[in-house]
Amino acid sequence: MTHRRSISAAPLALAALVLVASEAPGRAPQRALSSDSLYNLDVSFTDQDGRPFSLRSLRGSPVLISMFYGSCQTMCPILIEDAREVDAALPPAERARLRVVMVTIDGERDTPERLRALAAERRMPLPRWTLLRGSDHDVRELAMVLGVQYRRISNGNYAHSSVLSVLDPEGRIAVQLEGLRQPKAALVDRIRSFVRSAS
Amino acid sequence: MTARVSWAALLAVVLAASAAHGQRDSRDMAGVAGGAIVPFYGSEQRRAVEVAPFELDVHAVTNAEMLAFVRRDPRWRRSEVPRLFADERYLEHWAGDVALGPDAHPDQPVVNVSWFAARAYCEARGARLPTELEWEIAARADETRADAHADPRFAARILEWYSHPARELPSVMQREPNVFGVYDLHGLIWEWVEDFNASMVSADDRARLEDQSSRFCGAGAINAADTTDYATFMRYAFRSSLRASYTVRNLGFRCARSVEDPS
Repeated sequence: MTHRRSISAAPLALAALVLVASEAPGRAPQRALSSDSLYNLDVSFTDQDGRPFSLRSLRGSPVLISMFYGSCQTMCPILIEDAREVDAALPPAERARLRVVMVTIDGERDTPERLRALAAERRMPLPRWTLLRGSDHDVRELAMVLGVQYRRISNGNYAHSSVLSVLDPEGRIAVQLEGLRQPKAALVDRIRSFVRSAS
Repeated sequence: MTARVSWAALLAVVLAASAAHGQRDSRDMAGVAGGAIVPFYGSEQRRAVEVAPFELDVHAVTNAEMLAFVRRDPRWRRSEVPRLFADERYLEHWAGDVALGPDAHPDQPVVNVSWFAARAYCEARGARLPTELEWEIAARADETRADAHADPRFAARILEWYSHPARELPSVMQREPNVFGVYDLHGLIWEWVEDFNASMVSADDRARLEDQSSRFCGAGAINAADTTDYATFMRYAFRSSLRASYTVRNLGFRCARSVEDPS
């Protein structure tokens, strides 16, 4: 009797699994990402609840994004107040459409617990405001895209620049503010234009 | 005969596959001694930082090596790469996506590459970009000494190379290597490092609320470690002009790797 070769089921099953996994779950296919969208980044962040957070999930909303760290004594609280000022300058209906994202450059110390405590202390309206942490590698990559400079001085201490960025609903940097307590009208106006054009 | 796969065999297959993918073994790297180095900027107390020993590519990544990389990973081809990761001059001296052409010799250091592209290349090899301090410590070596930076003739030689750039970009490894066996850290191309933009930020966290200096915490407190070392000034000045997506005609890179703790 000739030996019959049987096709192993394993490679077929694996191929099927790969096909299924590669399709975007749920949503209808979207327009391709713009070439200069931040959402081209291949990074993994988790939020203040320790849950994976995909930057791409912000697509469709204007975003106010910056970087900070928890042990920062004077500069970062001012940066956060600057973000809050932008928030407050928006009418409530438009404000509800803005996502605010703060990414820590000190992921080691700024654990989810610490981020939650910070959010409570600074009265951040979660989850519209989100605090993120990630690996040194991914945080550096995001900082490079945003133009945020930082270096570690010692344990828990960093020298860093302050940059507030507005992303359009496609994740492209629309306008940036460098430095603290700068006039915010440009940021507010852009955010409002994005909210209104999406309505 | 049972069809059970032994775990050892499975592990061997997985390791072989990942080694082939990461190409860990295919590139010459040299061991660079660690040491203490005072960062050129940002150390008001002139406090030295300890840099651990590490491995560094003996020569900059070449056109041929970059070509092999983009052949394997189409996301980094000239016509595919998102503008977020590389500007419009990315690999512009090549003839095409996967063709070097007459203006890009295989053994020349690859240039017109962004920080993102350089990083992706190194990671594909299971390596990384060197940090600025690692690069600077390797760059202090001359042909016979691990640290020649205090020798004014060494600085003078470097400045001499900087002031006479070659008309055509030479191939790598045309000059004598330094004592570690590393070639061309001076006088061939500028090179990306992982934290190229991190030096010019002051350590002073006291927020200065005056106009310009509020951009950086206490920006007025930056001071250079050695105001006579003009070559190093030039390197830091050049790096500070860069953004990660920029590509420059005489800017390339090489990769580094951390050394496991000897057990």
